[in-house]
Amino acid sequence: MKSIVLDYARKNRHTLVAIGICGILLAIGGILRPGFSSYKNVLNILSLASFLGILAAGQTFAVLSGGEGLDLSVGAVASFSAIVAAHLLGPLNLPLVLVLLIIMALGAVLGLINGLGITYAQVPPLVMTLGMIGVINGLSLVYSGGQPTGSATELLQTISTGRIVGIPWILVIWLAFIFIVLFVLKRTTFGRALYAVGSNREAAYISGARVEIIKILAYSFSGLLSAFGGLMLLGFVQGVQYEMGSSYMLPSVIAVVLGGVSFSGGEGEYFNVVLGAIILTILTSLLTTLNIGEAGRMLVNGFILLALLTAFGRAEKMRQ
Amino acid sequence: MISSLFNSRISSYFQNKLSFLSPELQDLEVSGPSLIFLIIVIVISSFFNPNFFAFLWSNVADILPLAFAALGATIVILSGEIDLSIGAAISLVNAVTVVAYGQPNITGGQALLIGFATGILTGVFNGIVVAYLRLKSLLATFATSFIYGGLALWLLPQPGGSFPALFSVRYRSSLGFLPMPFILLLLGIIFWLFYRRHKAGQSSISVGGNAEAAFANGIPVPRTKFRSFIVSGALIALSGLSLTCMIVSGDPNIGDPYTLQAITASVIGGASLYGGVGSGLGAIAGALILGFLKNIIFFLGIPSYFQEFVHGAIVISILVVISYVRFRGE
Repeated sequence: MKSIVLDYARKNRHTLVAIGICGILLAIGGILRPGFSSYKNVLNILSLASFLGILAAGQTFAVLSGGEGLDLSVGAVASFSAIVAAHLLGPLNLPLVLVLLIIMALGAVLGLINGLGITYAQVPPLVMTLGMIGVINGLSLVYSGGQPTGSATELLQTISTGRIVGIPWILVIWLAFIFIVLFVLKRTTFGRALYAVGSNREAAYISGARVEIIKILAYSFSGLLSAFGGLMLLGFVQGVQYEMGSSYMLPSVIAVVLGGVSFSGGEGEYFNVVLGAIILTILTSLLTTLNIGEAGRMLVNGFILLALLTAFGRAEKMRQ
Repeated sequence: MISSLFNSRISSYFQNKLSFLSPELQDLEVSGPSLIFLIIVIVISSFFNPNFFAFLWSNVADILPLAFAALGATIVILSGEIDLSIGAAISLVNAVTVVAYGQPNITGGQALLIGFATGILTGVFNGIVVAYLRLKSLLATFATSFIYGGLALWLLPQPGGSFPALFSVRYRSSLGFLPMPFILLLLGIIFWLFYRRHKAGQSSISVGGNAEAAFANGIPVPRTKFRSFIVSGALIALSGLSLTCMIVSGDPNIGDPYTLQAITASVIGGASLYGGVGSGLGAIAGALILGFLKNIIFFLGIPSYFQEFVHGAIVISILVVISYVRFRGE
């Protein structure tokens, strides 16, 4: 009996450690600020974490594809889709489902551009997606002509902030989202090919996977998911501003690192990334309740990433 | 393609006759295309502006911070690493300088020195993290960029502060008939040429090209990488200081666009992001090209909310085209 438990613990240690960290952070929060770890607040935190979780899903696809994959444009795509959606829902009054499809298509196209640059022009993912941030932010300006208009419709607001039997809708959506992502990654040909391409490009190529197409699809997915995240964010924030999503860029990378997704590709679980997103959101909430401003949060995030990298990502020492 | 032309005929001729100039010739080989492109851009710019030379000098003043940043980026890229914290470090240098000046009994000159020290410290920190902690520079400098950015924001929550206007005047003044920024640019180029010849530059290039082989040849890899981050830190400090003199105020986000632009300038100048290949001369040319392009966009009368998009699209297109050409050409 004991060996079964230990075996399970060893195999899933990453997940267990993450859950443990969540618990510890919530406990610390509860001590420092009474009410922090109340059921109501935990639900709030989980709702907040959903936005990060969605953007981190896109990041996961990009990182899994291998070759130091990274998508720095997730925040920018989210911001852009929020601006477009606000306009389509508001002044143009289009139905929500249509708007959803439109912005997901837009996100997919932007991700496609990333993917094309990375696979066919061999631009390193970092540089390509970093450059696209400028282009996408520029597109936001062009689309809105300098004045973002519109806001979320009631339906969208209800989805992002309302509840069903006491549970926030956004959590329900996120749960469904998690299932879909896990399904795509684990049980579809695409998902398995993605893991194969990420972990060993040549082997995947030899066994017939179209490596370039898979990579391009991965980045398109990243764009698509980020756009979806932007729409949800719009519903939550309700107003629209420029660069709404930019504060999610760094945390999405940290969540992916926390989740054990390797940057050489092909390794990692989205489920752990979800836990990573939750941990980060608890931390951010904690810092906010302690009145630590944006500067402090940036510092903390930077140090956390450094600490994670030191723990998990050191290169070998050179020897004769 | 052009480099192979140089390679086969011209440079081997010169290498025979002038082999002592070989580092410089290799440098020209790498940076050649960017220098040619720079001349083209200058010619195009001159069509847009009749009063070209005044325009040229004042633009060099604006572009100088980017030129220094691009030089710093190139030095790191040559050694096989990358520095994503350039922009944040520039913001930090700016913030520190302005806040230091705001303290009682600190003169402008002292504030500049404190700012310079800050820049070097960012180089030291990056260097320790990448060379000695052996973290991969991509994510590590991504992380440190938020540390420097957070510090800058903490020191200067809002743009503000002031700096003696004297420095702005001096910055745009002339020594004889050469404008100050131009002199500083020349100093940068001279520094690069020295670095390339010096053991520091040479070992950096071999480490960037093949770290294992360099190590096997006795080159102390960690120390070399550490050194390149410090040199880069000093250059980034100069970038931040010249920016501060230019705007004579503080802005915690002022450095943000510099990271991508410095890396792009470096790549335009011939640097390979895999390391071992690159040119500071080319990077400076790249910075000038990007700066002049910005002006051309402005002078084309494109509406302001289009400008960011056009600029971003051009930068990305340049990166894609250069990358594609190099990749296909191999």
